[in-house]
Amino acid sequence: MADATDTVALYEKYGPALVRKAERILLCSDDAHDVVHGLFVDLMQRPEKHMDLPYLYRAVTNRSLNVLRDRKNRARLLDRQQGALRGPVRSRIDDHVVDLDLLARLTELVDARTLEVLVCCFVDDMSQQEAADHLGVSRKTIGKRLKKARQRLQRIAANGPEEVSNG
Amino acid sequence: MASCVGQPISWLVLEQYALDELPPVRAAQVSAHLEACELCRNCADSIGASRVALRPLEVADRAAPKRVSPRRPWWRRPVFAGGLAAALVATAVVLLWLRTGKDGQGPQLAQQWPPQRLQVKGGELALALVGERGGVVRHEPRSFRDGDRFKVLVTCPPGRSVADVVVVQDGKVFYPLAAQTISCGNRVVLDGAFRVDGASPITICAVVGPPPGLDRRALDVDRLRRSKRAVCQTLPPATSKR
Repeated sequence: MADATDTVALYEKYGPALVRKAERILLCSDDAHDVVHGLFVDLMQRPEKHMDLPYLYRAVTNRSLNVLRDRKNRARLLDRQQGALRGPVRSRIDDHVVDLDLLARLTELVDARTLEVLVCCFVDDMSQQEAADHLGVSRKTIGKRLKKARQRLQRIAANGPEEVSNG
Repeated sequence: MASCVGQPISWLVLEQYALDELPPVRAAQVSAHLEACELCRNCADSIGASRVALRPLEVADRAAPKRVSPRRPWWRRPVFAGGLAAALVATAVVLLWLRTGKDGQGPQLAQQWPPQRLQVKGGELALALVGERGGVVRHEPRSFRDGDRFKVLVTCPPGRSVADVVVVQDGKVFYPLAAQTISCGNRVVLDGAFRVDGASPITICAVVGPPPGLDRRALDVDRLRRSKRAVCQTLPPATSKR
């Protein structure tokens, strides 16, 4: 099991990559730093056995999505988003760029696992097979979750932003 | 904007590539893709060009992992045991208070300063001092000499707070630094430094709380001692001669 010193070493090694990753989701540097710092503070108290970059990447995805789930955070992030942090767009879902606006709209329409797949495939630009390996599920499951996301996106496209009444 | 020549290389793989953590075969595939794909190459370059200044992560007192306690009977659970201990302490304090009153000096509060580190809602509040004497910087100084210079570092739960530094010597209260709004985190360095002198011990406290912060006009030593938002360290004057 990694001790606190190992955790600090991991933080120094992987921290920048994880901050960049959180920034791509949240489009806010301060919040991205908060997410990564909070993750490692928790890991210092409850170290995990295998803390490699893919494991930490997934943890940052979940924590960033948790930040987005909070309505006040969402409003604040949407208000202050720094678009440049998203980076070049290399993949789209049905011509939609998965960015903070779209994730914010989908937060209350799809479950956490579907959102995680969306982030893997269209923010982190993983292939479906890579996302399946990363999340420890089958490629078929990834396909099903993406199908669900596409259905929600069609509803949003058909009904407009009002689809998300509480967003 | 150009599009990717095939399946984009994911950001995770690009980061692993930059860290030289990919197996050789995969690294060679990535190299070949980056040769051919301008868009992915730009992404890889952006990783190399990015400079992320991480917030410091404190090691002290966090080394011991939390232990999972076995299920205890209700009378041995911390809440009950803690309540019982608190009741006993409260009784002892009241008795001491009453007894002190009978001595003709009037009831007095226990003359204790808040600790240097305490648990608060959302995390931890802690004070750390950095001293400077004749150009030599000392972390966590245990004493002071005339003319020593101090900086104050605070650890507080994430969020915006107002931090104020209070120095008490011979019962007198000083505010050596301006109150400042900070983004809390680990060992946040407060702006400014201050010098101390005198032959009596000094107590340096950081009071950290939500805006608007400390009401200096209403603060006295007793109130500071009772504060739930203060962390303090007392330094005696150095005795040895250099």
